[in-house]
Amino acid sequence: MTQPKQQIFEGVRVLDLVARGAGATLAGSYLADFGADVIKIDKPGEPEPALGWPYVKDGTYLPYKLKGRNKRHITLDLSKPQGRDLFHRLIPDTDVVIEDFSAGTMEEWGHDWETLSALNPGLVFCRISPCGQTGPYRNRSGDGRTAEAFSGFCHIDGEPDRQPLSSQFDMGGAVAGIWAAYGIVLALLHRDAHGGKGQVIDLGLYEALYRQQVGNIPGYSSTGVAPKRAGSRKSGGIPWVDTHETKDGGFYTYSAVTRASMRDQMLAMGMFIDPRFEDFPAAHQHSNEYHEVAKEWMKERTLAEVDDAFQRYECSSAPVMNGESLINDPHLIAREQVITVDDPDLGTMRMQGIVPKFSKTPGRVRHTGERPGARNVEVYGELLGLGAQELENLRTAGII
Amino acid sequence: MTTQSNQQVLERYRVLDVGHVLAGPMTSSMLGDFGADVIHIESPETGDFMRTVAGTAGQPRASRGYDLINRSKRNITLDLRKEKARDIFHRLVAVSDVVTENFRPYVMDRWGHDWERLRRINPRLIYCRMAGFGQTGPYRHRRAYGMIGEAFSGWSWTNGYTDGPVIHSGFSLGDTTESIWAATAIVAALYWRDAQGGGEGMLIDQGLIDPNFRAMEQQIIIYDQTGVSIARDGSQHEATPYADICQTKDGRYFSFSAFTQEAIRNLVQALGLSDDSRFNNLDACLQHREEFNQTAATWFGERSLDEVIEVFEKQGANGMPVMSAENLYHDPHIKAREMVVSLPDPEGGDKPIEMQGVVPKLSETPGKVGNASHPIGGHNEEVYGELLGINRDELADLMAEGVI
Repeated sequence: MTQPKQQIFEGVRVLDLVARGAGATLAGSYLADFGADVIKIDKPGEPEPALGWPYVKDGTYLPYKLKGRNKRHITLDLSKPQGRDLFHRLIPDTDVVIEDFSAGTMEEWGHDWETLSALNPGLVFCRISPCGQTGPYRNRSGDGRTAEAFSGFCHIDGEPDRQPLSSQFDMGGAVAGIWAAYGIVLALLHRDAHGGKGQVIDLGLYEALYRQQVGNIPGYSSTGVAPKRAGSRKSGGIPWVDTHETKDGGFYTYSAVTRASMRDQMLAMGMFIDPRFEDFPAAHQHSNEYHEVAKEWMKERTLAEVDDAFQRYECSSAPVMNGESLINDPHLIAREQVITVDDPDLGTMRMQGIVPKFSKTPGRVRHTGERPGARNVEVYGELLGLGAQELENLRTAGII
Repeated sequence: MTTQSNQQVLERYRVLDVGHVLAGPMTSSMLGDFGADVIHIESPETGDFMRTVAGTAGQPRASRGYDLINRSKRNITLDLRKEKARDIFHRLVAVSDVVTENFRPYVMDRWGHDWERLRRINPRLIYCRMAGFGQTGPYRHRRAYGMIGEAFSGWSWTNGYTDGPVIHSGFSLGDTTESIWAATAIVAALYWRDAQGGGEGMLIDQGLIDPNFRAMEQQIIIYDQTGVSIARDGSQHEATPYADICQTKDGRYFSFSAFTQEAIRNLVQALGLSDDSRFNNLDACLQHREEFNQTAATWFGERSLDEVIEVFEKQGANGMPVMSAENLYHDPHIKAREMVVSLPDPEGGDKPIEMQGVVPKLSETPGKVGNASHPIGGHNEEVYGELLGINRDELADLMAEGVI
């Protein structure tokens, strides 16, 4: 037996072609946080994501400090013949390619699976496209946000009489990124522990959130009724799941699904003696009243008072957090979910730590996200033996 | 190392799932989809609480997704609180690769199933613990189901109508996201153990609140650098006008989104605004945001969904219709992608049970949906006989004692 690797993915090389602004960059980030050599390839001259303040500060696209963490950044125009050749020279020493172009784009540029797997039969080719590589909508364009719409997520997000919502985060992309990582690690395990070949992973962006809405398809199929928007209250009338505003403008969420947690929640709000809510069938019948009583009860108390009362009974409940409360939270700081790191552009800065926590191979932050092409000299020198003059010629020709 | 490729990536691995409700059981079913032998352990007294939830709402259990959450596994009963059960559980641990659980941290410890004990029984064990707030830190003993994963991660603050209250998602976004993170972590730990020379198992501490908190990558950095807590803004995005959901002439909704220069060019072309200097670049459009919103709303309001889709497809602009479960169920693309699968009812009903297919699609080892959920303790005889050599008479005794 060889010496155990220090990190889970040590020695695994990944070429990450996912657009810099996309939530699906999380696939490569997961592998990078746990030791993979992730080489992020950007198109030369391609500007950062087109967003205004507060996402961009002094010309720096802020989220990329985390999205690009632990990755080595090079530039390469995959669509040009010379760029194609360089990309293909990288493939034999690569374990994983992750791409999120519209279906057909990689084929158009000469990076189809037949070509890549001929160069490296062990390659894992992870393809994340709006609707997947097959089916009638495979050529449609979209991103993580439109994936939220197509997955069924937006249809049930919002108030019943108002239009569907989308959050401020690319949840569609970020969730797809981790499903992609799941597929990649499965494929690596198959190859490296069980003597299998490389393979293609085909993930439609929408499929991640679609798969996660557990009641959607089974529910419609069995009842003929599609779930609708229901605000913060879950459809089906469970009264013990809701969010209300507190006296001081905060929001507090409670979410009980077991008998014990439902009982504790009612005790916290002093409700157990109310005959309308004294047992579960009764509370179901008076679901709207329960909602109103809880709403009034919270309106008369501060967020801290509400949390104290609920925690006294160990309820399943929590304050609704935001950037400010998260960054200062003692639990998140104690768990190193919020960490302080050094960055060459921004100095000392805070970002999320490593998730999850592995006892033997905890992962670590080596460096924050870099600018496109920051490691051209290092990576092209190390992997392809390209010298300064060759790199200069490639740069002038717009290849890197 | 064998040279023979196996059919399913995880077919040689056994998973003991002592989880309940959603996050734990969903994790193990994801492993089951790719061939793992998943054994779901339930309390003989109450069963998994999710079995009852559906009944109390007066709806078929399928509508709660119970069958989806518990597909691709075998079901046994074991009352982990009992002395005799502890020994049986430890004998199962000795012949398993993975244990998943989603109690609060002290619960498994109190029953004698702490990490130190289990690793001594099986040094190759991967123990995935999924407490709401994780295994460490001041809030570790807090209870957390479902929407707590949205509220405490920061997501809910950013979801709702502009200037209106926080609104939660319409499903269990927190739990199900935790599940895919946990499944990924388990396979990663197996990879280290079996392919990277690790040889040993490990403890995975995967909290409910962690994944969405980690995945919302901008929230900490932007607050740290600008003092702004990102807040809800309806279906719009505060940093660009080029993302919204608009209603079509026939009453459907359509989501469009452009976060790169190329995507912006395609979008303004689709909307016929390429030559309008108020709207055809980000800086100008941010200045004329209200006008753009109205122009877009009018454009969509004058076209049917089919017309909108046609224009967006032609221009290669990012856009998708908002789909309901009904729309998805009947959609030809969903059918073509095998995103609805049909399984026989394990309780013998005539109507098959339909649910989502396998995600993601792997070309060599595609995975498959093993079975819909089973009745409580449905595999007691099979599993206890096969793994521990417990015979029928012994099982009857254990059942009489309430151990299984």
